[in-house]
Amino acid sequence: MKRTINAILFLAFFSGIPFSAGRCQNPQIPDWNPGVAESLYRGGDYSAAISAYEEVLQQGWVSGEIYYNLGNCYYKLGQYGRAILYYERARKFLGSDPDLQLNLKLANLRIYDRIEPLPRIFIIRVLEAVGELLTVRRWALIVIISEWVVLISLILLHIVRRPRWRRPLVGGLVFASVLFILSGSFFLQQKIHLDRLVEGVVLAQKVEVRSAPESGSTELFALHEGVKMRILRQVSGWAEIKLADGKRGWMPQSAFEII
Amino acid sequence: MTFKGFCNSLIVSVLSVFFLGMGGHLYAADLLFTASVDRTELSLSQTVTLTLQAEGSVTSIPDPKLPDLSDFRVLSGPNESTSFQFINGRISSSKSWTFVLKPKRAGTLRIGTAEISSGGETYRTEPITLEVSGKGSAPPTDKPSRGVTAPQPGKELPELFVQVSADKTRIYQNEQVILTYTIFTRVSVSAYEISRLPSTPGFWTEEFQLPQQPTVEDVVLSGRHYRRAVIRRVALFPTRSGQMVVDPLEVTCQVQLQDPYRRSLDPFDILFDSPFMRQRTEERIIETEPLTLNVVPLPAAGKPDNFSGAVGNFKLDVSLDRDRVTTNEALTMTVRFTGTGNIKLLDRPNFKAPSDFESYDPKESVDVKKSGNRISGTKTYEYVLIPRVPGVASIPPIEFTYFNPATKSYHTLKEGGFEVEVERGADESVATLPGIAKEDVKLLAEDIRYLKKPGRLLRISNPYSLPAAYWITMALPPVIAFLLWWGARVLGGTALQARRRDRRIYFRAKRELRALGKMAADGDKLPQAYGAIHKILLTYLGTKLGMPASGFKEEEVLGRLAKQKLDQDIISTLEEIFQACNYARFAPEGADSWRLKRTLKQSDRMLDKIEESWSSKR
Repeated sequence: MKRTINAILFLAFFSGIPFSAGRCQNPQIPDWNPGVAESLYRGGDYSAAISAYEEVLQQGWVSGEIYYNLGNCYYKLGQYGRAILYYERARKFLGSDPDLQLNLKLANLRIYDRIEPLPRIFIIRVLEAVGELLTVRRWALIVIISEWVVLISLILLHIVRRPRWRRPLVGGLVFASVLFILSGSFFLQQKIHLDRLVEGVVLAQKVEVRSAPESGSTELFALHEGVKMRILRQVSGWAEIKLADGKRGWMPQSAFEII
Repeated sequence: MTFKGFCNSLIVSVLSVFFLGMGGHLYAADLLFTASVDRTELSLSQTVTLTLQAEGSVTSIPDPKLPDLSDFRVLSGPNESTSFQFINGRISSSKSWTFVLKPKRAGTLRIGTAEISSGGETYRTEPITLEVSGKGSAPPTDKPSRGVTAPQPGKELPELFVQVSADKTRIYQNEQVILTYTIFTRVSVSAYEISRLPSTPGFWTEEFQLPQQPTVEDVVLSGRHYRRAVIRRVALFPTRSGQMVVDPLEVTCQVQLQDPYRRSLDPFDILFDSPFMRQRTEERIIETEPLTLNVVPLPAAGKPDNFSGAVGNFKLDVSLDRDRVTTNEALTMTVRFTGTGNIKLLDRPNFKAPSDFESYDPKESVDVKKSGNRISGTKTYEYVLIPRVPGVASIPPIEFTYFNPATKSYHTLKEGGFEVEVERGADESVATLPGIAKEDVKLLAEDIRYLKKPGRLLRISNPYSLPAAYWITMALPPVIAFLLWWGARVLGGTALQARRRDRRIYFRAKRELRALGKMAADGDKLPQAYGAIHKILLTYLGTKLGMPASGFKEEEVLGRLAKQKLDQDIISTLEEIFQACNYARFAPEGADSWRLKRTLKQSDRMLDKIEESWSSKR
């Protein structure tokens, strides 16, 4: 009995780590007050609010909320390309936050280009949607929790003799194993996909997309401020891009910024 | 005559009238088909009227096969007239065709036979012979060179003729050639009228404006005094190449002649005789010679791809009304072609507005100047461009290629090409954004959501990178599991093995008991089932107690169990089961399936009890 309790305490201690790890408790930025930036925003001085938020970024600190607030400032200034850039950056931290999703949708309505994504198979669309429900960290948390539940129930099954106690343990083990397999695959898929994915947003008011990385080559089509696209590779001042509708081409690196 | 006879004769006469009527119609089908002329002697400048007439008692007269009129020029005709009569039950109809003919040459000319077919028969007219004298006012028939129908020097000039002159006879396709029609006269012409204009297939024609009253000049031709007036000037643009013939132009003139020999015996005439009265007016028809033009195709060498057929000498002028606009404000680009040549036929310039602009079909206007030496003018295209996106937009230049016959080469003009600064309009409304669904338009009226609290600040650049703690906690469970397993194997040794063996035999016993439940239904196998229960329990207990397999005897097992300090009721239940097994094995009469099931249940529960008391004891 004593051993059982010991084991539980031991696991509880370890499983508590993810909740506190990776965070920094209230970083010390002496002369920065979030209230200042907010009152500037409320007073309509969006450019000043932007520089107030940028100060935090310059000191090496980030948060999804700061990006979201910057996106709002640029939106109010009518710079929809930058607004989309910062909303997309915020999305990496906040995931499917409803405020963020609405603002991003509004900003996307304000831009000139309409890019229709390629149609995809239903099951793949569903799987992708499920994968995007949670951020990578959330998936990782679920993986860790289910993993520990599996471990604990396995140990307990070795210790506990009484058949009356064993039944719920077996149930818990099966549930946690299924959860572990599912969350593990979603976590790995998202992690691998997002680590390789480089995306950018066009900031130039208009940029010609060409067939080769030189300014004399054929102009394929033109893009305008605010279009999000994949960056496939970057070669000496040029980047090969791919749009959601499958179109590809080259544009100068100065025309966009990576999310 | 009886009444019957009267009736018969009446029927006969009615029938005979009917048949006679029919017969008359049939028999009178023959036609009278004649050809006649109003005169048989005439001069080259005079006309003759040919009349073909068909008469007969038929309801319809077909069209005739016309005679050979190759020696004549048909000025008018056939003019058809028809008359139809029905008198006393007899049909008579007549039809006539008249032609106004003008002989092409002097001499004895023949009008061939005409044919008409009716009622299965063919009727022919007699041929007619005409004597045409060479005298007349028509110009001589010899072909002039250089496209000028002026009579050859040395030959006698007629007193009245019309001539056509071209400014050149060897021209390029689409190049303009100017034809000038001039009347030369030594007699007094009171009026003239262009009675037939040449049809000009294969040419695009542009007529010059001439003053209402032609200016009359005096010239001397072949030592004679003539008066000359230009009556028509026209520019022709040949649309294809090759030898092209311009048909003759015909002019009808009213010529006033003095008639000094006219004497009348009428006293009133003598009384009122005056020079004025002795004048008479004669109508004369004169015409030009056909004019042959040699049209050369445009050279293929050096012909640009975008050449669209402009021939002449042109200037291109492209202008934009301003170079700074706001979005959704219209810009006007004016493209103006000026020059001599086929200005009306110029194609719309090949201009594609940049993708950021909305553009409409250009407004087109042409102004052709029809005075002066050559056809010239201006063609203007106005493009309305509406920028939709702010930024610096470049409007591509306009390229225009034409062929200049003077230099015999192609020229390409490139004008325009503007940089326009487009500013974001203040009144940028939703409607100007493309491709927005209705529900989204409503959404656009909304404002964005408010700011968020700064949240927890992180020291990372990539939000997808996981802190080390995540990886450690993720990796720990497998490590722990492995360590436990390995440690138990190495450190736990025999105790662990014994426990594993215990678990194995417990599960095996339970499984075997469950399998026996199926035998309970079969009444014949009951003794064997009880034997099996006995053996299963003994094997389980013996193994659990660590006895050798040979010592699995009921008494020994029970004796050993007693030493294990188990609950007394477990031992007694066990003894009860063993007893029941022995009875059933050796005296099978009392055994039934219901009892077997009860024993099996009892044994199963007992196994659990033993396992539980054993583990709690440890």
